[in-house]
Amino acid sequence: MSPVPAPRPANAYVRAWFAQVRILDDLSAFIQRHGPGAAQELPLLNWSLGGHYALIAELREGESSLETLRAYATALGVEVHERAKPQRTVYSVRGTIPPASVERGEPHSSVLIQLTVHDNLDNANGGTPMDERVTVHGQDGDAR
Amino acid sequence: MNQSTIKLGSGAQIKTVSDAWARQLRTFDDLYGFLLLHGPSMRQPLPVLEWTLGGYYALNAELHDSEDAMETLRAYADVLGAKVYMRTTAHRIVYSVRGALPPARQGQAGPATDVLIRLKVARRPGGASGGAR
Repeated sequence: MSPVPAPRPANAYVRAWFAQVRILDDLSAFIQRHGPGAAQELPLLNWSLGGHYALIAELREGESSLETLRAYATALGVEVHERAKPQRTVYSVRGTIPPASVERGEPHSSVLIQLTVHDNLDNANGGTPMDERVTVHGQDGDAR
Repeated sequence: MNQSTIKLGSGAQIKTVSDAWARQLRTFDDLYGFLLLHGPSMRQPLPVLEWTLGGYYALNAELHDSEDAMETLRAYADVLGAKVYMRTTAHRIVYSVRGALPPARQGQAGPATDVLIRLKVARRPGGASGGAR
C-alpha cells in the first residue's frame, strides 16, 4: 500500500475532517427538507465542499437560473446580491444552512451560490466598460 | 427543474427530478460513509479533499499541485482499488483516479457513486514530473 501522506498538524486535519463530515450532514438534511413534494421544493445544484465558504454552488446561465437563485435566497432567508462587472453580471446568495442536529452548538455551514450572466456581445462591444456596482434584491426580486 | 436525462459514469441514467434528488442524497450518504471509514485514527485515514458533487461523475475532486499531492492521489487509488492514470498534454500532465465508493448501506440498489480525482501538474522543461503506476 502507498504511504499515507505526511499528516498536516494533527489538529488541522482533524478539524478539516470533522468540518467536512458535518457540512455533508447539514447539506443532506437541507436537501431532504427541500426535496420533491416539500413545501419549499428547490432545484438541485452541483455543490462543492470546502474552501472559504463551506458550500459553494455555481449556477449555469439559463432560462430559470435567476429563479433558482431567488428560490434558494428565500429558503435561506437572505437576499440576492447583484454585482455588475464589465461584460457580465454576477448574482450571488450568501447564507447559512441550519445544523442537521439541533443540539449542535457549532457555527452553521456557510453557503455561497453564484450565477454569472454574460452580456450580449453587442452590448459588451458597444459601450465603455461599466464601473462595478452592487445592487441588492429583496426576496420579491425587486432591486432596492 | 431540469427534467432531461443525465448519464452517469457507470452508464446509468437519471430521468426524473425524483431520481436526481434521490441520486444526490445517495451520493451524500455514500461520501459520508466513506469519510467516516477513512477519518482520523482509522486504519486507512485519508487527507480531506474539496469534493464537487454532480456532473458526469457523481463526485469530483481536483488536487492542487503540491509536494504530497501525488501521494494523496495514490492513497485514494489504493483505498478505491483503482489505478492512477497519466495523460500528457502539451503543457501539463494530468493524473487521474476513477473509481466508485462502496454503498454506505448494505444491499443498496442502484448504480455505485462514481468518483473522479484529478491532479494537474505543469510540465517542466526537460522532463515530466511525478510518476504513475
